[in-house]
Amino acid sequence: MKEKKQKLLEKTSAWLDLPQDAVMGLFKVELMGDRQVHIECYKSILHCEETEIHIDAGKKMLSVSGENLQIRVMNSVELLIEGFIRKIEIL
Amino acid sequence: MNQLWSFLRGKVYVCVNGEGKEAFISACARENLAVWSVKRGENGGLYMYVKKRTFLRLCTLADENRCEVMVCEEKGFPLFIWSIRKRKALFFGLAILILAFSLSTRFILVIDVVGNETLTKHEITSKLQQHGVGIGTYVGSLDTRELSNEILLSMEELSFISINIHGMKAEVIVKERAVKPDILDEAEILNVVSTAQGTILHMEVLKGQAKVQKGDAVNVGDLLISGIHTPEEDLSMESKVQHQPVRAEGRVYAQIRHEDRAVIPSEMQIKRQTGEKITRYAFHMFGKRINFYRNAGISFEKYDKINEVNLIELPFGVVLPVHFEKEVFYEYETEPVTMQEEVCVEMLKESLFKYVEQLVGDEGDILLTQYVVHQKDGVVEVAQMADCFQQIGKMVPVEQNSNQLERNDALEIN
Repeated sequence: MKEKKQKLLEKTSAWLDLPQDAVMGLFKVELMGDRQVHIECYKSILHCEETEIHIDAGKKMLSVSGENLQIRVMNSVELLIEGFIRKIEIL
Repeated sequence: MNQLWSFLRGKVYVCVNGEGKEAFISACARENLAVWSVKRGENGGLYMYVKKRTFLRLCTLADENRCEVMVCEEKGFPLFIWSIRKRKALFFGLAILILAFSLSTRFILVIDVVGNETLTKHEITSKLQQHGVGIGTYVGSLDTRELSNEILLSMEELSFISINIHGMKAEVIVKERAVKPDILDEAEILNVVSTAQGTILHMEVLKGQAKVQKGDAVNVGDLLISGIHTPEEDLSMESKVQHQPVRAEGRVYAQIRHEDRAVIPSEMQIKRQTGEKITRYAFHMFGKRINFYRNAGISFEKYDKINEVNLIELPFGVVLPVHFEKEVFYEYETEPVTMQEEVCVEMLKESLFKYVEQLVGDEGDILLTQYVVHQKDGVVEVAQMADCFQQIGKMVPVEQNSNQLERNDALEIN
């Protein structure tokens, strides 16, 4: 049922040319070089270290790996991580 | 800008320890409690900045998520105010400074004059001073419109004046009146007559008919250029003489002699200071004078007074309306001194020469000067005879010179 609903939303957003992240509630990641990553539509922070930060993005989990990582700014919707970013994984 | 804003609001640097540190910061994000610069510390705790205002709510959230919040450092303007709350003298001085600054902007400290061409700034500011506007005048007491009207009526050289007050600066915009040219009545018939006795050296006839020529000797009042022009081809007795009245114009230069004399006594009184002096001080503030002495009288019979004013000038040419004034009174006596004859003669020659230069004007020139010196009974007399090249023509109406006109016409007809 949930899969059908997801497929219906996907088709509707494609047909109406609407942004999928807004319609389907998908997370959005913006990477600026290797120093900043901006994440929208996240749920919560699961783990926070200087070398690794795990973020709950709904159905998926995001893992940001690097050095001297810190959460620069955060609110209920978006998150800004700064530091030397080596890897971003979607798990 | 964000840093300045967070400094003004105040921020706290905290360390969060416990099992649910990440859940705690997620809960802060959900409740829109500002948390920033989150990073892991060496002891395993999470270090972050939070707003001072939301600190209590954070502590509640930390308890809910089985965490402990420790304050590492407090920063910001509220902390600064709290730390100096017992320094009452500082607050008092700050209040005095704010009051003085706000009051000082209510007084005029700079007067700027714009648009003047022939009038000097000093003339305009002096006129303003007469109407009660100067350095130190209170702005609230000024009615700029009425003041502009009063100054415009009192200064004929101005056609427009506007006084604008911008804080401590008074901007005076002026427009000078254009000089009305003399309207010449072309229908008026004028002659050019001589104003001095001399020999004609040079003539420039612009309008009219010349009645004299180079080399002629003329007296005072002689007709030089006639406004009644007689065409030369109609001079015969049988033909009707056509008179064409015009406004005669021209310059007639002649060699004339000026004879003047001047006298001066050879014995004069000069000042000699006795060495005695009195010094007084006064303070000027916003146009008011405060004297630092009681008795204003001076015991010297004769004295010279010298004022020293020390103005306080800030950068960009701003002069403060407060200054000290020092007055020094030097006593002197007079004693007679006999001047040498040569000195007196030179002084008189110089003054006589300057006098003739004024009479001759810029167009003329002094050709030769001769002096005769006499001394009698302590008085030196110098007589000057100056031969000058000078413009002697003067325009007069024909009626004033009608006798001359008739004589000249009679000579031409005969």
